[in-house]
Amino acid sequence: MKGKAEIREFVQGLLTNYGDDEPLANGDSLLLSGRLQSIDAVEIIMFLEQTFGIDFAQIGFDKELIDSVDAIDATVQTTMNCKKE
Amino acid sequence: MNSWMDKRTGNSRVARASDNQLATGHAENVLKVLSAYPGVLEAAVLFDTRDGFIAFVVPNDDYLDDVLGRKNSESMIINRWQKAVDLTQFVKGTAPYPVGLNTQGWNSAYTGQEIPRNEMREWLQVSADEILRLAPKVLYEIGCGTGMLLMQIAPSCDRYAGVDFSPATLAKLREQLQSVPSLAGKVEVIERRADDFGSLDCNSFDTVVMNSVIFYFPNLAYLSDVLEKAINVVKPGGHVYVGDVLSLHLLPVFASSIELFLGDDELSVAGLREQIRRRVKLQPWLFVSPAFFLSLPHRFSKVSRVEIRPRLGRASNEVTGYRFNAIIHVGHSDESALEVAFEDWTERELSLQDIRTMMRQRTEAFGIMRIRNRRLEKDVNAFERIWPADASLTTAEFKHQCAEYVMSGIHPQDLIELSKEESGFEIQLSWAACRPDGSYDAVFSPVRPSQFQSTRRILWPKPEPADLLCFANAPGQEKYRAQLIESILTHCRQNLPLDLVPRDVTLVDMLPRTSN
Repeated sequence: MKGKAEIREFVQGLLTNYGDDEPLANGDSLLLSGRLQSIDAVEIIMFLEQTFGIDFAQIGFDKELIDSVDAIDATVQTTMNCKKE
Repeated sequence: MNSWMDKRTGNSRVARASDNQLATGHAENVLKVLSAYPGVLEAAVLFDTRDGFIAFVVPNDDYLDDVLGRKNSESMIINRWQKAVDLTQFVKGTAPYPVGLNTQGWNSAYTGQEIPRNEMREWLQVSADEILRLAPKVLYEIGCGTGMLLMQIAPSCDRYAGVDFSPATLAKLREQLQSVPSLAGKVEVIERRADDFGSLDCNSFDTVVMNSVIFYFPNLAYLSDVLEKAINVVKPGGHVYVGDVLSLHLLPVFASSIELFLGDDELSVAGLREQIRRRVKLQPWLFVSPAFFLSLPHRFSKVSRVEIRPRLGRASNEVTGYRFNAIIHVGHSDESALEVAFEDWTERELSLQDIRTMMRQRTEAFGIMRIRNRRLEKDVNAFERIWPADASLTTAEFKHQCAEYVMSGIHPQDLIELSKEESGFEIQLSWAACRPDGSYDAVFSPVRPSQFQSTRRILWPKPEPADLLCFANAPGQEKYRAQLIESILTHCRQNLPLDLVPRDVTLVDMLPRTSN
């Protein structure tokens, strides 16, 4: 099942790389807060491209689009809905 | 006692200490077993009466690539950086950049914000001026990006080939080139990875430039491969300019300065130390030692010498403070070296005024070594204090202590400006000594119309032998290196008596050539 749980698991994996075992709320800022580094943004983008087929060359990139689990999920939902239309 | 063996030549050498002849004999056995392992290119062992044998191993890159699977990770790392660079061009809602100054993606590691445009303008001018002094006419630029250097340098060239791995960036560059019709006939832009030189002929360019590029490279082996190819295409008398190299020796200070900037004020010094260690370990960029570039004349007969220069510029930021330029001179040179006596700056802590007086009083070239680097002084001071500090202090308390430090060093740019004021002397700076405190060396040579001092070879202070062991960090390779160490130890356990199995295996990039 692809969805928020999978996104959350992926983000949690990135945080674990930094030894970050603080609780993660879905609304917590990841990149703008400095909890993840900008190179991790690329990991998230590649994950979204591979898992959900999102093309950031088409939709444009903004760190806020992927700054929290909720934001990532919203980006996925919005893009998928646009594709359906 | 120490021993080493080079598998490529079969040479082995054992330094004997009179009190441990037995260990010397055993060392040869340990070396033999270590060197028989296919993942080992070269090995050395140290014997300590308390800890037993400790092994230093230069890994076999082919083994890491093909057997342990690093090659796949290499492609993944390059793809990831390509994606990262592409993404910088997809950022929404940014104002258009001036032609030749698209600094999109040049973000501060401290604030995450774009480095101010005036600082980037200075950075660009410094780089372009340095390259233009090499008088390039036929130039190949690896990682031309959006063409910041190209726009400055191509007008002086007969031919300029720019390559980059990011299609999105090249698309922007091609757009910009349309607004400069005078470059149309001489500039060629190609989408290509750094290690792909296509079918370029040997000696077909006078200059190869790689500026702000090699930190994207996955490992030292890849960098070596690219440099070998670059040296091959440069004709004798030409140069390979490797700019904006992140200095391996300054990585710990850099990591510490970022953590101090970002760190929560309530975090303990113990926690801060842990964050610094983690930042060093997880660093995604390739940091390289000047010593690696200094080794090139020994590896490639076509290279006559290498200069290592700290970056110039007044701005105080990571692109000036923690990076250096390596200028590789290609082709045999019969020029004599300028021999200069170096005074140690730390003995008298010379001020800028003292140096000005020296320039006015002297008529011959002179050098000053170990000049404390004002640009990095506060960061270095904080880094040096953090390890002996009381671990229970908070970061805020620690920062407060550091704030009391009074600087006494000299800013490299101040020396350059001094040379403009005191017109009789030319000043050259070097970071060849690889000191982890960022101190630098300077040579002051009288300007004589018949001489071109800036092109002369100078016998700069050299790195300490210990600084030659590691040439680069290994971003993203921890898994492969740990696997290699474990497999070497397993091999030793299977082939040596238990008490001869090395207590520890350290992977290094080079071993000393002499028993000392």
